[in-house]
Amino acid sequence: MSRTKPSQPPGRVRLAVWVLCGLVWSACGSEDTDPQIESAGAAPTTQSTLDQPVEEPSSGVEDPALGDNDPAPTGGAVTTNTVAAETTAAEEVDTEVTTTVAVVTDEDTVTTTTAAPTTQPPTTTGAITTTSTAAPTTTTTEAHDRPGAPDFTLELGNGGTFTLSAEPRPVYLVFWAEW
Amino acid sequence: MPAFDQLAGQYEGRVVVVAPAWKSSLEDTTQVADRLLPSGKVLWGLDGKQEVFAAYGVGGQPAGAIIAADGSLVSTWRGARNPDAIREVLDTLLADA
Repeated sequence: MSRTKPSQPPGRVRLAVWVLCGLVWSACGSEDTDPQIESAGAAPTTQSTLDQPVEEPSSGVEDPALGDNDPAPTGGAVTTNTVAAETTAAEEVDTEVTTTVAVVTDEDTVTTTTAAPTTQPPTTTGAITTTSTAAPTTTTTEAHDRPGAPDFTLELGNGGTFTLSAEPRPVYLVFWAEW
Repeated sequence: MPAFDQLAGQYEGRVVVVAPAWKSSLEDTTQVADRLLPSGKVLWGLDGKQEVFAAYGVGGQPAGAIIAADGSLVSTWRGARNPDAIREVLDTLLADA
């Protein structure tokens, strides 16, 4: 490393090195600066986890694959950080899912899992789509060979009788019951 | 029920609608038939011994069959069938006759 040469003139080179380090330092420091987190007083190590809840709800709401999140730890304490995230999420999400987002944001204070917003709305919507219960029990057999229909005689309600073999017209036969 | 009562009126003189009923008394069947088949065009009767049901292999209602004028079995079905589909079969049958 060229910096390790101790025989360099100290004045300009040191100044240049310090200026360079200062620029690099300031550049690195400015990327991590987050007004929300600073105002909330969060530690630097929690910055990445606290950023996610603010961003995720808007995209997470439409992702049904994330719907299996366990809502059990919803009893977490709401800190000032969560309040900030909650309001942001509420602004980004449609009114239908605002309640769910708020609940999940509470959960995020503990787990920082942002998948929860999708839990209930997509699942509920899927459950509403009911499948048809009308079983296709109707079986129609169009006979090309046309076998002979079984002959029968039926005593009619009007007192007469009907015999199939004696009927010269087509017959529409309906099997039914009064109950 | 009213569907085939209407069909009986629409095809009167060209197609005979016969409606065997089962598993009930003649009195109860008559009361329901008077209410559900007001046109009087349907030839209904009580198949007390369930012979007609057995002859066509029908184990439950509703079910139906269409028989051509020559006595051949054109179509059979189990369960409810769309009246339009029944009309289509009947119209084809009458057109071919």
